[in-house]
Amino acid sequence: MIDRQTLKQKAFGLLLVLPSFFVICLLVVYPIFRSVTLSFSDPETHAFSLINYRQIFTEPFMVGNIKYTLIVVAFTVLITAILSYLLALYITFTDSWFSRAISRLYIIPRFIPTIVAVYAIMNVVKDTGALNRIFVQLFHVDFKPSLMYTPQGIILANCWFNVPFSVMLIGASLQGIPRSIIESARDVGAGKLRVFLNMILPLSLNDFLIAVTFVFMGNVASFTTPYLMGARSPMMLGVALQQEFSSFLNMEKSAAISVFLFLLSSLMGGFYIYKSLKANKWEVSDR
Amino acid sequence: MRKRTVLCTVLVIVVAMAGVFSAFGADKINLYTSGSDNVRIVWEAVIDAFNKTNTGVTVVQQYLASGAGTRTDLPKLIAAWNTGQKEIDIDIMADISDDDLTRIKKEASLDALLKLDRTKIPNMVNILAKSAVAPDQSMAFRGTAVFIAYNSDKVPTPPKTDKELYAWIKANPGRFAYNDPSTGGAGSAFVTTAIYNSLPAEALTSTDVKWMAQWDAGFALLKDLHPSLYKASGKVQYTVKNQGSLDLLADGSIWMCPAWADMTLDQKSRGLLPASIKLAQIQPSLTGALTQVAIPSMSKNAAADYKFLNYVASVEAQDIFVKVMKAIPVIDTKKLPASTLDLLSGLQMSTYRTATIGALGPLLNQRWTKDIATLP
Repeated sequence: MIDRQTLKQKAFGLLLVLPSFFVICLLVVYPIFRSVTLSFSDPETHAFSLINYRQIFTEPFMVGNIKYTLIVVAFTVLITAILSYLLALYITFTDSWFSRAISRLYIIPRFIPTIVAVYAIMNVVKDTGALNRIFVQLFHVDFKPSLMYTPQGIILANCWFNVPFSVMLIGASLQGIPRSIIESARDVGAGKLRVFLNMILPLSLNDFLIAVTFVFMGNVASFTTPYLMGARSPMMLGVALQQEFSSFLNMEKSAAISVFLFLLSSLMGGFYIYKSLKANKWEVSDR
Repeated sequence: MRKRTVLCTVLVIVVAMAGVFSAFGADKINLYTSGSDNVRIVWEAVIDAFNKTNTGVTVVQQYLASGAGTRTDLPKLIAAWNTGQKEIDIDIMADISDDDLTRIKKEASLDALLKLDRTKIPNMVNILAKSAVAPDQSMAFRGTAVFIAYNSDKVPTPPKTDKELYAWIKANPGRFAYNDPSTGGAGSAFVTTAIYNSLPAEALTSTDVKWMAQWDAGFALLKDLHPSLYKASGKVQYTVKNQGSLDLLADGSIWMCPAWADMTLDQKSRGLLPASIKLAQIQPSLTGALTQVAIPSMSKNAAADYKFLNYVASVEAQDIFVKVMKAIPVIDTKKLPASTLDLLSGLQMSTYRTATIGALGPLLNQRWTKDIATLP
């Protein structure tokens, strides 16, 4: 039996959610629906067809782009994950003037607009850039970093953008670990490694994996960095999508690329939802 | 409470009426412009000059920087046409190219644009060039041409013909770069001329797909040039956007590249490019593009639109385009003051060619990406 009061409250709750629900339907669900239908239509006849997907997965240029994208993203995720976990550990558990300074400075890249940062990175690492000039001036060595137009260059820039973000996520998780449990473990003789492996790691793993999914989703369809720093072949899917859309005017094929990117992201998104819904058993007993 | 309601109602009515009256006072037209910042600046100058002699029409510039996103008027017009809208707040689409017109034709219809009534644009007789895609619906108002930009410290005598240029590229490996044609017009002009120079002259202004069969010789030439182009990180690289090659030219990595005349002259005048960078044209010349204006057929201010277009086609406005942005005029240059023409000295305008290959452009870029960009 539900009394009127609860019913009213529930209705009111739904009412509050409705506006955002409609906005999401209009600006997210409907466009996705349109993209999916467009991706299954033949560019000439507009009939149902798999031709766009067939092209993406068989054309050597596009297959190369897909492989290239996955490699760049995999390394970006891997390097970002390792660097940010180490950095988060350092700034959370070390107390020195240096770690305090780092914990305030690491966030700066988040405040620099992408395009500005990419140009700045390019001006440092290009073959005639700042590094080259410093080496020529100081050591009379014509050092060429050879990072422009390479996946390594893109990964370097990606790390610059993503490390601060993931340190923020992982750091918040590490901050949340009660110091009392660590200290009591230390009191009964647990070593640093044991505390890390048995307490810190399992307690922060969830947020660490969430950070990984975010880095993946944010980079798999990235555009600015690979557009400005990458080669013209192979190119990352975000760049290929833009080229297909605004240069080749092939709406159907670009829709297919975006659906593919969407699937990749939603795979990781699903993982994120699964992870964030699965309550941590330590946290439950905490409540 | 009641007093406040009355007060609010009165206020709303007054505000609404003020809006209506001001709209009656002058025809307000929205001019959609797009491009680099010099595009915004030149339109500001043209609108200012127009306002001095024309009252009753207020032109509002709606500018979107290229690179900040795709221009908004194009998808807006296409969407409005496809959903059967009766009016639109775009009155004039400026800075549109044949590619944009092709897109309108393909995704909506050329009927989405007003068929220009020449009797209402008397100055249009001045204009010598016209679109290959929509000659009745659009009016060319300036041209932009691609030249060979070169470092005069390293290259005392630039090549004079296409053959000499190709020979120079091979003789100086790594010192020439052109940008991916799908990212900017300079590279596109280089690619287009390399391909179309071996075709009959008429092909360059034709949208007929039959010419595609004759592209092979040109692509073979580009393939042949590939190993001699600019290398970085151990591989031949094509730059991104027109600026990409100019940056390499400025820092001395390369000695020569195709570049837009207006862009190069402007950057030189602001010290962004060293004074040693000069422009030269080869024979047959690199292509340029026509920049055009068109009126959406849904615009409710056609009379005011015509008035402004007529001004854009005037000698006075054409003079502003050359002076402010070093554009190539589309009217007979004899009509322009000599001092204006001095600004373009060194550029051989008599040999200026326009490529209007419409929908073949995207196909050409596509084939370039498949055949040339993927070369090792």
